[in-house]
Amino acid sequence: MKKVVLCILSLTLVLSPGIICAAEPVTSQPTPERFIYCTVCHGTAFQGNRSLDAPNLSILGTWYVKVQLMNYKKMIRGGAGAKNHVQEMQQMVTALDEDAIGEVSAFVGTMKSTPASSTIFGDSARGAKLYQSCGTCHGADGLGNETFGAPRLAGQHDWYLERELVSYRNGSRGAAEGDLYGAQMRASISMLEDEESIRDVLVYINTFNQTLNKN
Amino acid sequence: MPRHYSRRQLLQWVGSAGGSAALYQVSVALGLLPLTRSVKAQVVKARGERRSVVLLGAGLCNLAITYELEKAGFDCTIIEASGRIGGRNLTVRSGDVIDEIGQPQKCEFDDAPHLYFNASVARIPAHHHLVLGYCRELGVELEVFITENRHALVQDDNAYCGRPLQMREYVADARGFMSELMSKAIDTRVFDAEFSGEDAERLSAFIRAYGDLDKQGRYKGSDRAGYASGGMTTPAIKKGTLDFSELLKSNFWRRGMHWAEAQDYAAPLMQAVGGNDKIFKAFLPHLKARIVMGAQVQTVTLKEEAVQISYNEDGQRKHITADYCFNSIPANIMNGIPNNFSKNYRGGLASFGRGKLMKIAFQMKERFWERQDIYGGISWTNQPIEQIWYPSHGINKQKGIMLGSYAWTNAHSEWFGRMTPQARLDEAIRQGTKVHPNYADYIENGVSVIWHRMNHQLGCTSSLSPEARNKYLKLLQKPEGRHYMVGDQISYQPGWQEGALSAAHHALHEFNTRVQLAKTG
Ligand SMILES: Cc1cc2nc3c(=O)[nH]c(=O)nc-3n(C[C@H](O)[C@H](O)[C@H](O)COP(=O)(O)OP(=O)(O)OC[C@H]3O[C@@H](n4cnc5c(N)ncnc54)[C@H](O)[C@@H]3O)c2cc1C
Ligand code: HEC
Ligand code: HEC
Repeated sequence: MKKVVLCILSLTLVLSPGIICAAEPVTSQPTPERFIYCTVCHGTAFQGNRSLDAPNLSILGTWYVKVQLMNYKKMIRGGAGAKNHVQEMQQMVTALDEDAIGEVSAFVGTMKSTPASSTIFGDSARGAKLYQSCGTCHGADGLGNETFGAPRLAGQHDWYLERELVSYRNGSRGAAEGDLYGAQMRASISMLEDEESIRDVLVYINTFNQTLNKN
Repeated sequence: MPRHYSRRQLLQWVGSAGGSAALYQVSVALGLLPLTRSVKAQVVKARGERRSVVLLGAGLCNLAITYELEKAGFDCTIIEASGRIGGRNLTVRSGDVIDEIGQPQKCEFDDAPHLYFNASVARIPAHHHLVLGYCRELGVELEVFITENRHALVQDDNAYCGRPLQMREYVADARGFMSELMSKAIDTRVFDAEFSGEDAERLSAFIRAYGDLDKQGRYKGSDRAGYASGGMTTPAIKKGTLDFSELLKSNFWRRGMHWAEAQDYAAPLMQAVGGNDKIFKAFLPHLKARIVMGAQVQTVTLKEEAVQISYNEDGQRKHITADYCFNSIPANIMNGIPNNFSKNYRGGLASFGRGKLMKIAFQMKERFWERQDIYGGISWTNQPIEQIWYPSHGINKQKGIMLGSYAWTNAHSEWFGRMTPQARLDEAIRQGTKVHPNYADYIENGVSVIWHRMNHQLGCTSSLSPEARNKYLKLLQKPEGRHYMVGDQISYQPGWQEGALSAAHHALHEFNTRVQLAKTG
């Protein structure tokens, strides 16, 4: 834990944020050399890239990034039989030890949130009702809650959230042995009975204030 | 089977059987042959202000653009994310690092001029005028690349109990059996009056010649299949014929058998002497441009009269503003780089898919294949390694670099990609052993290049589906502000250097028109 804190400090001390002119999209400090490869897939602002199936990391808190990287490391996500893009991510942590995982998680945690644009259409009012139960864990604003292990959803790409909800439902995520958080989320997916419910809830999530700071 | 054949159907049949040579003759007759094209790009001389150009990516396309722009007096700066110049033109030699994302490998080949591995660019067809034109202009020495070798092998687990056959035997017998069937069809007079008299005679002679049939139109084997023995000081002994139904079970006739008929694979093909990276390297001594290496572009911002690029260099965020920008970053990676392009243009960039090809190369302590009469060319198998390649260069030397696999099917490349580098080699050896028993005994070391896992590339090509191409290619071939999207991805030939250079010349043409207008306007 200490290491992570030190790391955040040293990063903020050494790297001053680039001066951003009005027309230029939002970016943060340069990514350390050894983690640049993460941005080849996740985007140079960690904002995600649908062309490469990679989600938005810029909105996520350090704690959640770390939990998920450890999940990939332990093959809880991306084990044999997983879809190719999941295994592809899984391989990206094989060369990282726990310290390096802590370091990159801390760095991602310092990124400025770049919210995604919405691609899904549906019934937001119905989604709002459905979301009430989700909010218990993910927060009424979708900002996530470390205590429950529930990630921030506000600002995440809806195509990614949709894909993950389907994965929880069909057991390709959250069913692996030892995946405690995943099992909790998987238990909650039954509240979304069909594709339409998934779309409606995502359309509602897209209405959240995406520029709020992450926690 | 239709009972009547028209002249046109026959021509079609001859065309597909006779392949590109026949088609070529038809094209000549119809005057359809392309005129010899000029490889010169026209660029107006830069004068006064507005002469700065920033180019994103130091691949072949941008090197050629820089070369042409500098001839016309423009000031160029190239920003390259990776640690090497050349992009997808990659030749691997002793000690080179293969920058696979999250899992770099080092090449352990011996250090010798012929011990190299063309991990991407392998061959240049004669109609790739721009590539060949630049090779001529820049003095790149070329030699023949052996595209098809009838002594190479054909192996299929589903035919002949998986036993490898010589390609010449397979091809000779396949043609023989097919021709015999045709010959029988003529006998039973399914051909109508259109083929009476001389036509019918010619057709029947054609069929006999095509399949090497006897006078009665029967296939009794052919020396095209190679002799079983003899032929020098003792009489030649013909091979017996293969079993036709087994032959059909092999998947070789689906693709490999007609490979060298295809537009881009018909003999003769060429390669650069000493490795195909000589092609992009030939530009470098002529360039004045500053090439910033290890500099990943972070944002691209179109301004009223300029383009601003931010990039990382030595852990710091830097900016450069230029009058014009040429961008060859693979579009699917560009989709993850913040920019202020129009919605439609961004939609185009977001539509590119990833091509997945991979190659595995082995250093062999002995060129054992040459003692099996195989000099260059490709062997085919139905296993996931798909192809085995023998080097066209270094013939008769002691050692050689041979391809243990060149896989074209996404599922095969993904499967190999998920393995560790060592596991890939082990798997390629296991499969290769079915083609060449004792194969493993000759292997000294090996490397794999999985193109969809290569850093800053993530694909052997970034390319549009035919539908997306119809929708977006025209748009992407036009400048967006002062920004030009380039690379082989902006062409109908992604995965070919000619596509990259054609896109370069296309963009230069657009650029030239604009600069000329600005001058006269
Ligand atoms: C397996 C394989 C086989 C091939 N076989 C042949 C063949 O036989 N014959 C033939 O003619 N062609 C062949 N090709 C195609 C040939 O390699 C390409 O057409 C050509 O090299 C493309 O050049 P380019 O400049 O368009 O793109 P690239 O070479 O891809 O250049 C793009 C550059 O952009 C850089 N870049 C990426 N992201 C960033 C960033 N964020 N910031 C800055 N820079 C960035 C990359 O590192 C790269 O250097 C083959 C390719 C492959 C992969
Ligand atoms: C080859 C492309 C690629 C690279 C490189 C890559 N990722 Fe990923 N990443 C993905 C994909 C695809 C997913 C989605 C996988 C899934 O659905 O489980 C993902 C998912 C993730 C997630 C889970 C996010 C969530 O909301 O649960 C995290 C965290 C992550 N990546 C971090 C990283 C870090 C850190 C690096 C660099 C060390 C990295 N990635 C490198 C492609 C990549
Ligand atoms: C009991 C608490 C709880 C409830 C209720 C809950 N979730 Fe979750 N959710 C979690 C946890 C914990 C995770 C992280 C699981 C993991 O590690 O795979 C998660 C993960 C997710 C993810 C994956 C996000 C990512 O970045 O990969 C999505 C999408 C999601 N939840 C949506 C929902 C929706 C929609 C609902 C309401 C139907 C909901 N959740 C209800 C706890 C909950």
